[in-house]
Amino acid sequence: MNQGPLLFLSVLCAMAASWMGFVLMPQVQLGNQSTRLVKEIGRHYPAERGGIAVKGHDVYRAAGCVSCHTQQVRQSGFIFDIVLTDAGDFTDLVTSLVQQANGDLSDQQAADIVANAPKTILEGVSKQTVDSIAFLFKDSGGKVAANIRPTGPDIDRGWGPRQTVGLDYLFDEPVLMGSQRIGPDLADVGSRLADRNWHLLHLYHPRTVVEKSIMPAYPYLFETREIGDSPSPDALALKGEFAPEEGMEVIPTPEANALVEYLLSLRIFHPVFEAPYIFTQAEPSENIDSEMEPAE
Amino acid sequence: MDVTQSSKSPSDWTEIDSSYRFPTLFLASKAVAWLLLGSIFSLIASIKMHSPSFLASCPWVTYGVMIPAALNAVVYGFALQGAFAALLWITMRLGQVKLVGPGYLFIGSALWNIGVLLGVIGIMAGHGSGHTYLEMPGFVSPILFAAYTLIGGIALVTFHKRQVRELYPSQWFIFAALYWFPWILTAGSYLLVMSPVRGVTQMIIGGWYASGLNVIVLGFVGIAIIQYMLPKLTKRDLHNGYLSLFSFWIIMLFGGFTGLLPGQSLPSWVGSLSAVCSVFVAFAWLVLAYNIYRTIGGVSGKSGGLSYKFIYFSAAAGLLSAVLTAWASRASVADVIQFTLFLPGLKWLHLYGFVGMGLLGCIHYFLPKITGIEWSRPAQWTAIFWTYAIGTSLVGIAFLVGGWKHGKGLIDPETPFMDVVREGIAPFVRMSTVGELLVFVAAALLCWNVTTLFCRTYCSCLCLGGLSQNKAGTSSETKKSQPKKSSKNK
Ligand code: HEC
Repeated sequence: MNQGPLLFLSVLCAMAASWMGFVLMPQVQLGNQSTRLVKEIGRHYPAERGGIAVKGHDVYRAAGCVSCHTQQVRQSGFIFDIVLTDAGDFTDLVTSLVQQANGDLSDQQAADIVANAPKTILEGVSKQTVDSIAFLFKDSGGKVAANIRPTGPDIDRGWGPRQTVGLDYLFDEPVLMGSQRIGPDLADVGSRLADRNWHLLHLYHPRTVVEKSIMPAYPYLFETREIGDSPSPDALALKGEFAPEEGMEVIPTPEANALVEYLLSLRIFHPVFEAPYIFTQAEPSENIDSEMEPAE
Repeated sequence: MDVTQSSKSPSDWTEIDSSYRFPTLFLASKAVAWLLLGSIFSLIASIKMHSPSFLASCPWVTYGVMIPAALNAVVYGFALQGAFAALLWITMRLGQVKLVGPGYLFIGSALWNIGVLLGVIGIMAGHGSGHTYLEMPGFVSPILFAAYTLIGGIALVTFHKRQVRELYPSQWFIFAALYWFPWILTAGSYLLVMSPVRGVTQMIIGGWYASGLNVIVLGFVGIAIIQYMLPKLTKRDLHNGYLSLFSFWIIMLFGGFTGLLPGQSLPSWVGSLSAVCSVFVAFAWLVLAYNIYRTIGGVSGKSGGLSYKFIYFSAAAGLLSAVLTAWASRASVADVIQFTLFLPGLKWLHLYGFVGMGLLGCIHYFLPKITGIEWSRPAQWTAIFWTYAIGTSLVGIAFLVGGWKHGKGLIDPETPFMDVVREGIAPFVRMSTVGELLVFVAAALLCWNVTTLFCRTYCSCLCLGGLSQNKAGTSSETKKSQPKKSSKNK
């Protein structure tokens, strides 16, 4: 390797290999991903973000929220809830099988389940248990199904019902998945914190709503001005040390409103093929009709 | 293969060095200025973590822009610019050749600084792109590219015109870095900033860019410095060129995709591939370290002087960061340290510890040689070394240890998030603030010293009848230091 041309050639080859493997391949694999019909919501997913939330995404980028917040939910696996969907004709047999499946049930509870099917027999079991219970109910006339529930620390924290997948970011430009969790994950923040005023107060000064927060304050997204003829309905309800001077009020700028709109639009609210979970529309009783994996 | 011998007479060296005098001084003084600016930015960011209201009313200095502004100032302003200065010097020394076209180099470096300045201002004004390492607004990339064409072009022409045809390992590394950079810069900024690809492919390309920039471009210049300076300072020959060749190939093939931690929103092969690549790179580093160890083993650190300490620290930090990156890419570890302070810790170790330390060692060593003027206050350089070394280690340790605690808290859903903040983040950020303060002090001292040297060189040239006669001027100035130079170095 003591010749210039040889050196040049080898660098060129390595460069080409690196480019093909790490840039071209992902682009070929993922580059033409497109929206998909999701039957649970009866719409194509993902939808392009609309309204002022688009501007909010831009405010989020410009303020660099991504240096402290991720927007990606991790998941370590699945667990299953076993549901008796149909008791069938042989209720006595099925009742004893239900008790066999879940030893903790008393006679009365088991009978209740059978009488009121569909009802959950067991919660949070592994795929193996699902298989063995399905085998148990085979030929008994009773039908069981297993509901999928993703698990993992992020999901247990309530940061989202399922893991995020590539599809979720299709229309984000730029994609701000982030790599730091100085603050909580925001992929599903719109579902758990749906209060617009909370967000405005939090942005104005995080310590108004979260004691000892280390998130920076963003007063520049707000305007402090003199109260006109009557107090503005948009003014923030600030108290104590955060309250503006007498006769002044704090009004969110359009940027602040856009940013909050964007935060509220960050929601994971239905399953996708790569990341299934039980989908709850409105009433919990509808559970069973939705995402289910028949155990038989 | 031999850095310690030379067929040149001392006066030839003076001529070679003086051809490079002002361009280098320009590059080096701007580089340390950017380091100073970057350290101020990260200090501001760090303080904001303790008091959310600190400078809160100004969008230009909010945490989310200070972090990328600091990173870009340090990467493009300091590390890359310093790397240009160092690699040009090594190319000239090893090739025993004069710098070609110093005027173009000057234009190129001025343009580079304008580009970085516009980029950093753009980030602060809220036009950052949101992609780590490529935050600068889109219009800056062409400026940087044009500037690089001049600087890199001159380096390549100088390399081509070398009088010693045989190549020393450092030259391979420099050559590869010179070709790699424009390639990833154009590909990265085109595919991410100018005409962005859709969806998560952005993250993958961003990771490829970051890894190429750190491990290959900056990493190769850092390795070139280590392999050139350590044998030179200890007056030994590099133990084995084939081991270097091996590391060179491995890092070049696999270095483009390390450190992308398996995120689940990416296809799963991305995580596995980057884990494999990180392990290969760590192995190559172990081979490099063995080679260096065999080269300098048994030499007492004192004989090499202060520069030796700088470079030694740099090599140790480089090895540590490569090994830690490989360790962190194991699935069981990655689950813990993903999304935590551990990652900025690795970044510090690599950027400030390995690359930065190597560049400072180089600057300390070659600026007096090139200008023919000794540092006026050597004691200040000792102070720079220690404050910088302690500061960098403090930040690195705070982030690495803190990252582990931070991650342990995050993966335990029973720990409320604010407890993670209180126990896993806040105390370590406080510790890192102290480290960043030390780095700031070191950078300020450094700036002062390099600027004084710049002024003294300029004045001495003026006194000796202007730049046109600087050749004569240099040889008379450097007479005193010549005997030392010819015996100790090439
Ligand atoms: C210095 C890092 C940092 C930056 C920058 C930052 N945050 Fe935060 N964020 C935090 C921390 C820490 C918390 C948790 C404490 C709290 O709720 O205030 C948090 C909490 C939040 C929450 C509440 C989440 C929850 O589940 O409780 C939201 C919403 C939020 N941040 C939005 C933003 C937005 C929008 C920006 C950009 C304008 C931003 N953050 C910038 C650190 C940061």
